[in-house]
Amino acid sequence: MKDRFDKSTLKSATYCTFCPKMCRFACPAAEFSGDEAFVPSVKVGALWEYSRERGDFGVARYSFTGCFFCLECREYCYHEIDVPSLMAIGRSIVHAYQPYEKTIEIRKNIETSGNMFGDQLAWNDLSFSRVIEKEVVIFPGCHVLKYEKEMLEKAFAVLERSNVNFAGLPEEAVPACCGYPLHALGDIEGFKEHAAKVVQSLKTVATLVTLCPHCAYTFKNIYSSVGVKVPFEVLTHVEYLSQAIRFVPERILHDPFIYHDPCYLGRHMGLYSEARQLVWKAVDDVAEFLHSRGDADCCGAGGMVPYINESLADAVTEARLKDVDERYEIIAPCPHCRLRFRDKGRVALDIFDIFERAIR
Amino acid sequence: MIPESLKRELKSLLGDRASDHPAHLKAYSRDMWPFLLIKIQEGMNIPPPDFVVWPRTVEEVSVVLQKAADAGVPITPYGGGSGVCGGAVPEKGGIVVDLKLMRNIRMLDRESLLVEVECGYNGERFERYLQHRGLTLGHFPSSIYCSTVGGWVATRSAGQLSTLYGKIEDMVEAIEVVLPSGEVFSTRKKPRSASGPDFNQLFVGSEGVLGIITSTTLRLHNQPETRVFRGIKFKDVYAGIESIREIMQRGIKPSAVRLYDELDTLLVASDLGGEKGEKKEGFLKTLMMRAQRLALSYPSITRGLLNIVPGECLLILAFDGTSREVEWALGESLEICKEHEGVDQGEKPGIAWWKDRYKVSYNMSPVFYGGSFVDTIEVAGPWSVIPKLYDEIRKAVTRQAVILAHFSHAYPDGCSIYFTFAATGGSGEEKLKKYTDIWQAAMEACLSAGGSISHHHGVGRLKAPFVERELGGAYGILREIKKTLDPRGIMNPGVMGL
Repeated sequence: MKDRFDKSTLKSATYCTFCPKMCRFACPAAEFSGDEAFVPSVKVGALWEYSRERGDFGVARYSFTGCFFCLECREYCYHEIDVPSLMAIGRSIVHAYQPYEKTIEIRKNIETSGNMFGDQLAWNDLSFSRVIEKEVVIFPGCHVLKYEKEMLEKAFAVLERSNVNFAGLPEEAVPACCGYPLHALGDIEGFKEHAAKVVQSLKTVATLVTLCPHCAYTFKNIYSSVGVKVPFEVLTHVEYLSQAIRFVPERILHDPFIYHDPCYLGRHMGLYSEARQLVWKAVDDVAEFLHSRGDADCCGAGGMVPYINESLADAVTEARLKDVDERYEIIAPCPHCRLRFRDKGRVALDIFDIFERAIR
Repeated sequence: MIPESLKRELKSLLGDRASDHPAHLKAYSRDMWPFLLIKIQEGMNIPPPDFVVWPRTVEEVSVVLQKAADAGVPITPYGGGSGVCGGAVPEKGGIVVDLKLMRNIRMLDRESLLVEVECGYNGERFERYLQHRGLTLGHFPSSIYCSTVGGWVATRSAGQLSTLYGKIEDMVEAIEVVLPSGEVFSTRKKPRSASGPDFNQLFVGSEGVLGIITSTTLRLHNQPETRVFRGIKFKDVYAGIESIREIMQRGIKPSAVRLYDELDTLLVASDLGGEKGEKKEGFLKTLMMRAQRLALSYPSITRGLLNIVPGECLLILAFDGTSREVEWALGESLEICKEHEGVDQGEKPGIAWWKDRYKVSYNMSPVFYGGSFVDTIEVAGPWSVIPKLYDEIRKAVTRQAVILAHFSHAYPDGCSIYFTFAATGGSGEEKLKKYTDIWQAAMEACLSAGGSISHHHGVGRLKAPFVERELGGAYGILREIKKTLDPRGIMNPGVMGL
């Protein structure tokens, strides 16, 4: 077990274990459940015990469900400890001994159908009329394909109107999923195998534009951490729209909007202003959450928590929405966030939804 | 031990907000008492509670206490678990009542500047809620990120701007407490009353031994128009102490007053700017990080070596108010400091301190990573006693630990001294013995010099052996109150020696 801890990991785990819980308020799992077992220093402490060969599997298995990989804790950590990376190690221990029930099902689904849902997720039935050049490829990701085909059509409409280079999938079938669910659930080997397949199927691509920040982060950062080289450029749709689009709205929207910072877009990739600047092209006002940008609380979707600790995910989503007036439509450039908010009865929109409304 | 029937009843009442999962029992076996951190460091056993509950309402707290009292099961109230004296440690097992799901704002009265808040509200989130509305509580303990409003009240806490805004006891206008019988007791909101003793103050600082504080009404402030900072350097700590005394006795009210002694100026305040400081930080990093265990193994020699380094003491002052108010207060204060040969360092050290004001709490980890341990001792005394209190505690501890201090939370009649000590040892048992010996020596020195054993961390289990000497005759009265309110002794048994 000790071999999972290199010098740097051990130092981070020890520092976190003996910290007086300074990031507690910033951890949505700890703060909104009230559960001390989810405080970063406590759950990392459960991992640290493994470096001393005295880990308690029952304690660890439960505690490690309480991390959204949102990185908000690091905003308040002078030692800049990366708790999601430590929790990924923790979950790999769980996977090695007694995987979370959902992991087995998700692994099987990804192996058989290329996505975590086990559905035949396709986008070829969608109506998009123009493939200008096969240079820029849109990678919608499994959540958009499963839940938001309508938004995808709107995205194509906006891109088409903006004379953008984009394409469908390469000729070879591409899995709908980047593999994030496997990595987040600790199935590192399964993830590695899947990542290699995805890269192989995208080998002709020059630039991949993801509609999901989880996918972008996974391609940009996690693939290389398991030794899978990504031979193409990866951009979030926020980056791509900022760099490549000259979007001109037909009208400015006056509806009440509020902007939510997705964790992977914001804290993980530092994209705060870019999304806002895009939104401002089409709306005359957008409100901010009390906790926004680096302080934005997770929506409750990260780290696959909805699949391994549903009640915790619900508590965090409800807390995020608690003080938000129902008249607001929430702009969240992440399909995971939107799904959580819609599940709680709120209207949640992507930037493409906003743009499409502004040209309708 | 808790009867299985009671567990079933509580699970039936609270659902998944009642648990005996091993992860919960382990997580709630400790707070941030360094004695227990040494045990964790050394892989030693810490007795867990038998059960954990998370009530959402005062009614649920009431039912839990009634049932626990009927069964004679110990109760440990739990907020943020950030206390450093073992006040939230369920040493005798029983039920931990975690209050963090009680986090509603019940009332905000902007006209009277009052807020009624439930006890589980996190400190930082609470202050942000207020600041978003142009208000502030003015309470900034260094634990604000991890502590709760209820914990502040239960431990009689103080914040870093307490010299102006007061301590938590000054902020409490009313309080709601569930007594051990399950009865809900609350005081009325009023700015002051001459109708007998103040029952708010019976529960402020009661550390969970008399009941569970479920909500409190706190006095607020509008956010200050401006806040200015100043750093002043003195040739020694005594000149700085005299300056603070004169500032306070002239009727000036800085929001923050922090005077670092020579070693604290080297170690901590050197982060706060100035070329000299940066140079010394390099030296100290080498000493304290790379040779930490060696330095801490021979604390007297380390102290002797550090004494060779020419020392200076840094005073940080902050002033809140209107521009005119702070201009006057700053000018007067600088005049006083100049009379004591204080040298104005400008605003930079103070701004840097404010920016990193909670940073000191993160310094525990590297010491434990190095195999050593660290703790803090916060005492108080009148000005006539302060120099002696400072000298005697340092003398008592230096044989076993490296110790440094700063002076803060100033009043016209005295102030607090906040010592930090770090030490090391061989086996776990040796470390625990050394830790206990250091505290014994420090508390004896404090009481002999005429100081108070706690300014704002409370008593907990750590200082329980000394609290009777601190309170004198009042301790007997406290014991009788405890017997009356909690005849079965279920509330936080052992804390404060009760």
